[in-house]
Amino acid sequence: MKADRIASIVFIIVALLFWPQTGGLQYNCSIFPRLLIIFLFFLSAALLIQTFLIAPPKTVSFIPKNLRYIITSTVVAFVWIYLLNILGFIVSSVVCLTTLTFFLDLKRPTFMRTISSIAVYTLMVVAFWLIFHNFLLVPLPTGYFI
Amino acid sequence: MKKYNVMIFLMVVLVGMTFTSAALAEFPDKPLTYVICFNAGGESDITARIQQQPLEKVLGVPVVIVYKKGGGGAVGWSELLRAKPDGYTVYGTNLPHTIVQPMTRGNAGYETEKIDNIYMFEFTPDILAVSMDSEIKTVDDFVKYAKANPGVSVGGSGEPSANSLGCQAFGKLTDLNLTYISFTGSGAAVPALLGGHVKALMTYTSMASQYPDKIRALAVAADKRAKALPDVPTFKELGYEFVEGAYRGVAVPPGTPKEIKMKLEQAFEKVNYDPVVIKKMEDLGFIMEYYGEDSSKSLVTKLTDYYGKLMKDLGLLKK
Amino acid sequence: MLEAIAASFGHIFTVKVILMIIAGLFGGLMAGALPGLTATMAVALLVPFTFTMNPTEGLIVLGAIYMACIYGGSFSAILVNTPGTPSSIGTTFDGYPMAKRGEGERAILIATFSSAYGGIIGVIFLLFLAPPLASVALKFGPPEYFWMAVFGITIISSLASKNVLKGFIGGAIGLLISTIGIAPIGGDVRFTAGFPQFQGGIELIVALIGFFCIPEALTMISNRTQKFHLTEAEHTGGIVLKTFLEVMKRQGNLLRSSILGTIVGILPGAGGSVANLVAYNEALRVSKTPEKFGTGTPDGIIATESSNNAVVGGGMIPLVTLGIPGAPPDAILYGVLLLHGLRPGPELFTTHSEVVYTFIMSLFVATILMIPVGIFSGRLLHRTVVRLPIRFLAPIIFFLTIIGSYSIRNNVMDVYIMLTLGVIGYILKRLDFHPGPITLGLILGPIGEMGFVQALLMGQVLPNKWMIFFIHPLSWVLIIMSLLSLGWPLLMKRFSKRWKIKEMTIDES
Repeated sequence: MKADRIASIVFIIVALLFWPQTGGLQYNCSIFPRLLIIFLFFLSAALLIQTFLIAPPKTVSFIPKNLRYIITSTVVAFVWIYLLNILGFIVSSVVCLTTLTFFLDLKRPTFMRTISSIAVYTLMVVAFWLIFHNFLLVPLPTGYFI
Repeated sequence: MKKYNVMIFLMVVLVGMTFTSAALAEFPDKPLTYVICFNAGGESDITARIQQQPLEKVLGVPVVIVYKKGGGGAVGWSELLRAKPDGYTVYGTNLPHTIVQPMTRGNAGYETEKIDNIYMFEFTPDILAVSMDSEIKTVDDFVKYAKANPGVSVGGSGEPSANSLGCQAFGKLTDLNLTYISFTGSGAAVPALLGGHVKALMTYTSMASQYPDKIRALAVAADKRAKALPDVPTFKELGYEFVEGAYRGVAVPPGTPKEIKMKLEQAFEKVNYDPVVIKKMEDLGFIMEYYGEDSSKSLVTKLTDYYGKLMKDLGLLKK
Repeated sequence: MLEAIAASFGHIFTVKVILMIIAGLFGGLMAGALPGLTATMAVALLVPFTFTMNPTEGLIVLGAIYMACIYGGSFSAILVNTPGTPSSIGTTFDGYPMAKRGEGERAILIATFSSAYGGIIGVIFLLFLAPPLASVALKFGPPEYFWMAVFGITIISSLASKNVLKGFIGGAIGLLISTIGIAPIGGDVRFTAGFPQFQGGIELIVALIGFFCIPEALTMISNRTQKFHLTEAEHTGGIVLKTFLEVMKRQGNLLRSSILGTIVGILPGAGGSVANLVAYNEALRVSKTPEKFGTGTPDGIIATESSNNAVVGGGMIPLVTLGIPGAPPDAILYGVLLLHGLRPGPELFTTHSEVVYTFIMSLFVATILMIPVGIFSGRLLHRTVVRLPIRFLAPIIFFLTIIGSYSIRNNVMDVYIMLTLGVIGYILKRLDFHPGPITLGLILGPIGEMGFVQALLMGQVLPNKWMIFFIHPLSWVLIIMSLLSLGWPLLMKRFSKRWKIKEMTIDES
């Protein structure tokens, strides 16, 4: 319930943030977004009111399990994207894939496991690279390496 | 001491030679990317596909067509200005889009002058068209109808575009109250006309060529009649000083070396003289043009003046 | 016409062509299963390969790729809760729950047979009823497209039946996000916060991958102690035949969804993404057990997968008769036709009847061949996903999302946006705002806005421009459908309570 309350307030704020930006637009360009913002505002207000009226059922906690892992994985993913243009597609993908697997492993990773992960991932990434780059002729990010 | 200096000197010469030879390595030696700043299946795509194989023959490397749509082309063109100037990526450009977009938008992401067009290869004039079963048969009929029905709807592709500005310019010329309705492409405007949702279209000659039995072109907004539409008079012939249309070309990122630009310009020119290419383009209603890099620049300057004045008259300038 | 059909079989049933079709099917399947590669992109990417073939063969291959791609989207929808193409969004609703229960193989088989059925129905309409149906497509003008978008949004009330308010908020968010960028009419720049990169708006595929894939991967990571992602059911023999019969029994659903898919396909501008959700909604509405939808009922998959493949045939109806693409991949086919000098229109059927009929008949063949190809690939994929521990599966999903979102416009910015939307989508999911309504808003926003503003402009000639929305009879059909769609779930809830009370009292007496 508390989560719903916060969510509805966030959406109301979003609506209020978008509205002033419709000011400088022509009529044809502003009418649709404005109607949507009004729509969003009233729905969020209704949700907010609902949280006060209806008794909260037993809800799942908003905070997920293993939050530490989720956050770290997300950070690694962002870094991965950043590295795409620096290290190139293949290198950054193999590095980040191995890092994530290493990190998510339940057992203590041994040297063999890590090496085999790197090998398998390299094969997979190179295979994709070949298909996209040579066959479909879709360029993938390159940096100092490929 | 002297020996040491000589060694350094020789090293510098050697390194310098390697670098120069790398630069003089035969361009092109890897695939060329041809970026289309619009949707796949649209007209820019079709003209690029017509050019693709002949280009590959002339340049000797594969030509890969890639799409970067968004903002009516603006997303692609803003990227053009920041791309690597190594000559391996060319971007399709359109006039008047690249001229009028920065004029009407606060920040289009690019400036018209910065776009280095190396070749403009075709021109598609506007046409005023109605459905084949419409009671309107000539431009005068249309003018009469529009005077009796102010606010009559005229469809077209894009805004601002050659269609929208053409419609507004024509309306001003004839003192008519026309309502321009923009569609996401000429391909979306035609069904609207055929379904009776708009009364007329200010569209391109290519549409009349692609739908000859469904659309009646009333007049062409060019200096001469279009080869694909020999029976359609020009607006000038009918007494209306109205010329409007869109140019299509290719550009390279700023800072591309002169030799590479010349090679690309020559390649596109050669392709443009290819009889197979000419036939395919003209059949679809495109008019061949042959502007090299320098003449493109003058064309852009001329058109920038023209559209600047036109937009000011129509009250459309943002800045 | 019959002689042309008979002649076409001679062209199709050669070793070369059949092999090409199978190659196209495999390629299309893989492209479809990969979230981020849409049918439009797959077809566009493979056009250059057809330059070396003659026009007929080229079209046959592209057609096979297209058909298989739409079907392939169901694989990732079922196995990892992320639609491989926007046409399979609805397949996640019931396909994934089935997979989680250990019935992944059954779900894939249901999707296979439904897709084939829908594909065939769409092509039948193309073959026999193209000209009259095409003229219906023209009747849809801006007001009708607006009401169609409204109808699409009202579907949310059935999809999010547990919390309608949150569903509609999600839809509103999706609609609002779709307005970022250049306005379709007028060309003003909206909500870009000064970044020119946002002028193109948020790409649908980027948002799709973000809202579906990333939350799924993060949920897997959250469940990292559970070693595998899906449970594997015991492999019962004869499951193929059994599922085939099970699907075939649902003729009502199959036929209705396929026809809906064909109709949506005929409308230029609306494609499989709209069709699958509309069909799902209708199946839910007329079902005797609507509460089962969303928990893993075969009817859900049957509705979405048959309708989206029917769009393939349906979308070609306006393409070959009027030269107007009915769905985005058809625009590419249009370009291919023009390139080979085949102008779409009525002359195509007379002057180039051989090419046209061979192509259409090849679609039948491709759809039928799709079944064994699909079963083989689907089973393989299912077994792989089931056996892959989360510590491999989750990173691989990240990998695929990065490739997928990058290959749309070769723009790293899109990848960042994808991941950001993914994190937001995960948070929203935890808050019980599901991605379905949001993506529905994203899909329908441009259609709705375009129709809305264009209609207002059309209405300038009327005394009151707002009247334009209410003067066409076709508009009223859509308005009534929207009201029904909106009100039905609420009515059903009240009626079912009364029925239950009546039944209870009858039992007691």
